Amino acid sequence: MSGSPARPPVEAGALLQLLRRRRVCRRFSDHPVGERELRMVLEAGCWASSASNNRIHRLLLVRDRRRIDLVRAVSPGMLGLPAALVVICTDLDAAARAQVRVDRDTTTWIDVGTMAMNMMVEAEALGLGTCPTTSFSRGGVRAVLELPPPAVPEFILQVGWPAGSEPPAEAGAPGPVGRRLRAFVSAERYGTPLA
Amino acid sequence: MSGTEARLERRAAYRLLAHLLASAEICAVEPGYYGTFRLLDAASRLAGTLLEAGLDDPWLGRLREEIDEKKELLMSDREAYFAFLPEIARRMAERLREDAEGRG
Repeated sequence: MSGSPARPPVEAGALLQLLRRRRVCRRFSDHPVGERELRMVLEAGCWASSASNNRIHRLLLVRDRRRIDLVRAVSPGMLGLPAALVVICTDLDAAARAQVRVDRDTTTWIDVGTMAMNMMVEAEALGLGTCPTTSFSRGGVRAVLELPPPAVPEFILQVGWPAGSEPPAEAGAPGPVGRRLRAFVSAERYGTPLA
Repeated sequence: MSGTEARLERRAAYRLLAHLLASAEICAVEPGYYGTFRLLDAASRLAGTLLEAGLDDPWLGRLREEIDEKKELLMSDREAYFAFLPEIARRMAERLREDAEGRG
């Protein structure tokens, strides 16, 4: 019998252990999160499953402390002050191109969840803390982040080193900005590619 | 300005107002009991803002710390959380009375 060679196994037990230990982090340290770690978290989000592979969501990375503070002011669900935010946005232009009815199609919400979970698991593997945030004013976040009309903020992931923890001394060089990161991720301003 | 007063800057006031208004918006869709959490959190933020603005009030600082610690009981021990609500309101009222009587 012929077929594709089996893919190398991942440590399933280690992955399960990671999933078991992940908890929401509400208190973050002041340490910045390195470029390498952030790119890995973002890429994990970009590899999430997507209904019909429509990929109508985009990620906006926010590291500017002033902008994070503004988002916090309109996001009662943000109790801490993380080093970075990843805002998952529905891109209405992408949805229109894919003929997705965002007002009726519940799979769009599932896709937000899978992106978020991928990022939280990757962050956990890196020792980072995350907190999912859905309690925010949609209009408020659009206003403070100056999102263009097609970008609808759906979910905010707070990312940072947990309070009381020390980031690893050897951060390592960031990975390259690959095709997925270029296609789906903006930095600071929606539409500005990750450098 | 004495330690019993605080000078609130516009930016700090705006931040609080933004928080309260956003809370009002999301309270319309969140479970009703979450409104109690939003108000507790807003009380903590107001206390923090006043302390940062120069109010010299160690009692208020301790109150804020306690609120920040116990508000998270909502996620872990709901019974203790709901017991905390009347307790903290009563203590604030006692403090208010003492202050009115010049004993604060």
